[in-house]
Amino acid sequence: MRDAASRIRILVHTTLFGALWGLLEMLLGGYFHMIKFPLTGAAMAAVGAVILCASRLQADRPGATIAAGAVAVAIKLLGIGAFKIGPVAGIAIESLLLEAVLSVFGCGQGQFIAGCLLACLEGIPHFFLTNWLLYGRGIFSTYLEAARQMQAFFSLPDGFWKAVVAVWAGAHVVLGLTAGAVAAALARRTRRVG
Amino acid sequence: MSAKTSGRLLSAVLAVFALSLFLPPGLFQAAVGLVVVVLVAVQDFGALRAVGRLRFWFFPGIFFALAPLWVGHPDMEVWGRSYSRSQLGQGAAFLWHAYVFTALVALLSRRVSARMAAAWAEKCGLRSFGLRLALALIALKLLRRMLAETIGVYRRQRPGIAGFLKDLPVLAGAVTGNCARLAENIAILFYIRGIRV
Repeated sequence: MRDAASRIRILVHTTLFGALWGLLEMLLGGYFHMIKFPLTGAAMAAVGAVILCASRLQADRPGATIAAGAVAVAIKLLGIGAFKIGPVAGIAIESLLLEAVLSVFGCGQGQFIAGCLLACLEGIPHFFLTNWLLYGRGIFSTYLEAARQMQAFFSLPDGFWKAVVAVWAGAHVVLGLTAGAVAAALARRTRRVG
Repeated sequence: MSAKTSGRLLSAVLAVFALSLFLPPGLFQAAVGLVVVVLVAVQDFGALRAVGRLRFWFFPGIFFALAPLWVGHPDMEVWGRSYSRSQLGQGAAFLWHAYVFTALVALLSRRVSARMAAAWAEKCGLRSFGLRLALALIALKLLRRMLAETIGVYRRQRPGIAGFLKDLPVLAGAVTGNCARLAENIAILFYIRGIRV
């Protein structure tokens, strides 16, 4: 009896948190995309990571994070747009990463911070992979050459592009840590109330 | 076209595209890309229409048209500046590859549906995914109303962008807390009605 109630509770919680993420992807993600907000992917990853951590606080079972992510994927697939595969892949990878961290290391505040950070950092390889898939072999050498020539043209110091990449990667780290801090605060509050 | 044939064609498109990823930009890669585009068109011509809009290609086009002013070996002059025709050719190859990839992504996006995701999730061992999907669709309306109310109250108490951003953890706590409360109520309803999962 108790087991059935627990199963229902986990199913409903993971579903509603997944739906919440899917809804925010549609509303907030769509808005960010429309206003050309920089780092939209990382910002939405941060939002998603917080929701997944909050969901795990309510339903702490292995597989719960993947279940919530699968619901978010399904909601995203129901939305309009010709290019849903990229964000869908992002959501799926992010939920898999968080599931791995929280299932292996447990649901503590430190694990939430690490999980959120990892989820946001996923945007870095995602960018390089997407560019390789989009433009094919040789695109990075063209980018590098263009960056070098631009540096020379604007009389910027050598290796300036590295600083730009570092700032971009740093922004992912900041977003990940912020999401982790919010998730850890949620964990503290939930456990205090519980 | 039967589902089996369609599945085989899709696998063929993916395989040919994967091959093109390892080829250097050039005529052979462009020809392989053309095969992908033809196979996409055979399956769903609408996918090609979806990626044909000028606004998709305007900025990448400008980038690859201007890049030869700085990149590559100059072999001609444009408006008094040296320009690399070979680099322009390479840029065109990149742009063509991008078109091929986006056509493929559009095809996949149009083919993959929530129903397919549900079937796939059930196959992967995620039980009751159909029930989850139905519940999620019903809950979307409730969640949307909850979000609007929560954000509305939060904004009224914190005017301005700085105030809005300063207390984001409070907003996150309120949204997730309300979502959990909603889930708890639905779980009780499920239990009372004897819904088995």
